[in-house]
Amino acid sequence: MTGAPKDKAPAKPKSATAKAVNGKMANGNGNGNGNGQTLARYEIRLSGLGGQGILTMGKLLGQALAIGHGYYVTQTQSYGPEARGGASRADLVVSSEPISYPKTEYLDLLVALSQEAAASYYSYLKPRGALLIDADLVRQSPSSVALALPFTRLAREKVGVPQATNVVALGAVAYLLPFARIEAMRKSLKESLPEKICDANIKALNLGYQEAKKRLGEPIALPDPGEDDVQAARMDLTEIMTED
Amino acid sequence: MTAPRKKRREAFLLGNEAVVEGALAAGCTFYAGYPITPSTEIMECMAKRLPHVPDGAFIQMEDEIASMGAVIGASLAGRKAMTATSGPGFSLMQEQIGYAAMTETPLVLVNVMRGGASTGLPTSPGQGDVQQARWGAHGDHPIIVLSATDVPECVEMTVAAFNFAEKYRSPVILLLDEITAHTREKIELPEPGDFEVFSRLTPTMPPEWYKPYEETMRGVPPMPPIGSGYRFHVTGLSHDPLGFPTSRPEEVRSLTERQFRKIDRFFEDIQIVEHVDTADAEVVVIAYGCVARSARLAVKQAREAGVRAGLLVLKTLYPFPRRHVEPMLRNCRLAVVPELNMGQLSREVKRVNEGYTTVRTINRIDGQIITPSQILKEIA
Repeated sequence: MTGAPKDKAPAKPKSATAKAVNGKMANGNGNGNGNGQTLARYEIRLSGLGGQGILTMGKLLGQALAIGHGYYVTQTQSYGPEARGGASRADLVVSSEPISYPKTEYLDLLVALSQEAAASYYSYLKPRGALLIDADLVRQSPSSVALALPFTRLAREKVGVPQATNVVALGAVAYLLPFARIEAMRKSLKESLPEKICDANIKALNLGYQEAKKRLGEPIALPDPGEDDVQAARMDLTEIMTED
Repeated sequence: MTAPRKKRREAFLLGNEAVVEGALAAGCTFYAGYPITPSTEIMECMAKRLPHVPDGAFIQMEDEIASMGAVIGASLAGRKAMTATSGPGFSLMQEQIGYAAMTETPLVLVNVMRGGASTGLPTSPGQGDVQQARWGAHGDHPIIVLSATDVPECVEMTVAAFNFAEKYRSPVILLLDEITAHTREKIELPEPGDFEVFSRLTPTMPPEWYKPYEETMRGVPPMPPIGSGYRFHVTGLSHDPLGFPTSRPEEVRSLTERQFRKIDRFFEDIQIVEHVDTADAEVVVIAYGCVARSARLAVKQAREAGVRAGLLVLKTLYPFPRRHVEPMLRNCRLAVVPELNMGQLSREVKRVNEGYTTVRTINRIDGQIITPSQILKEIA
């Protein structure tokens, strides 16, 4: 491909420098088709406290959606300087199209594993976005329509490993996301985790999935793509106006 | 390259991890460093990978000063060497960046920019080290500063950094920011042959004829590894063609002039930019790093709203790509420079602009990214 007129860069066909200019490999050449389900920007926030495994959960989920399903995914993170106990969150943007802006703007799904996280991030949910909380740790849900499961208790009592809380929650997310497959999550777990903790985590994942299926009703319904566009445009304008 | 090929290995990597993939693809066999957020994953990943690379060596040093010393030493011994750090560590490395520039020692330094001065905001993004990367070491010295906007680019620009270091015998600084470094995206892992990889020129004459800092056509003298039979002296003092200290004006002048000329003559090779819809743009956004991603969305939205907007992504920050920026400033009615600092690259844009068009800056220093709507507001 030499005919790109806007490309004024040095043309050494094979050099790294020329490639950096010519071959824009946005988000790594995924086919973006996922599971056959086309996605406009779908935004997920996983939030809680440092030490709960939020970032690991984000990596596992993102890896499953990007590599297992072939979506474009960006996963960003935000955490405090503390080793444990500070606020921690992982944000994912999932799309069938290459993603320019990597951060989230308005959330389709918010997972909150602490009271603080639920309270601070609830306002970023889209009007019909879903909120999934830890039933024990979030005492006061910011919304009466929250989906709640006691992830930490399940991990401690049913899996016997309290550190698996994040993976139990991942199982529930795998059930709730209509475009996600549990097998992709399993594969992502097996690829990323050390062998000696793999079995416990697979157990935790399946538990989360089954509990969600039993107690949370139907998976989340995706918004009509057309409707979503209108909504997003309206929100952008509102933000601009309020800033003025 | 176009023939059908087997499925490539994919991975869901952090920008920091992608830097390591790029470094290894470029032939890096030596890493010395001291961990610091948000660059730590580069070091962790190198510690895992380098022991499996033939002749690979990884050393954790006692601090950033020692890290740069080790990297310079390894490079003089013939290795492709790198280190990575963030703000405070970058400040500690400045003296030896100057030493590497003066002794024309190839090396790659990745600085993942965090927010604020001093310890600042260790886990938040910033772009406040741009001028420091250019001018942090004292004295006139040429330097190459690159940046990357996303995870695939972290691979490409790290390879470019090693290639430039080797081609031009210069320290090369790769400036990332916390967002680029800590964003995970899917990439295809590089395989041998994906990138053209350069290695420094070594002398071909008999050792007794070798003059380490002799004038050459390209201005870049050949560089033997220490211990290969070629004698050379390394000093940070101004030196003559044999490498020994001198204060004779003509020798000092020709040394410094050659050091600048070896970079200046190859601007076309070094200055990497990406044009997005700039051909007919009346409003141009000039951005780099994570902010360029916000700008990409803002420009797209502005186009949809009927504004002829364009985006120039700077991947080489220094030498400042004037030959790309200047023509654009002559043809647009507004240039917008968003960056996560109080206005560091916009100084260069304004300098090149020479008052021709309006240059507007968007500056954010609260540890948050500039959003697409913030940029859209300025261009729409």
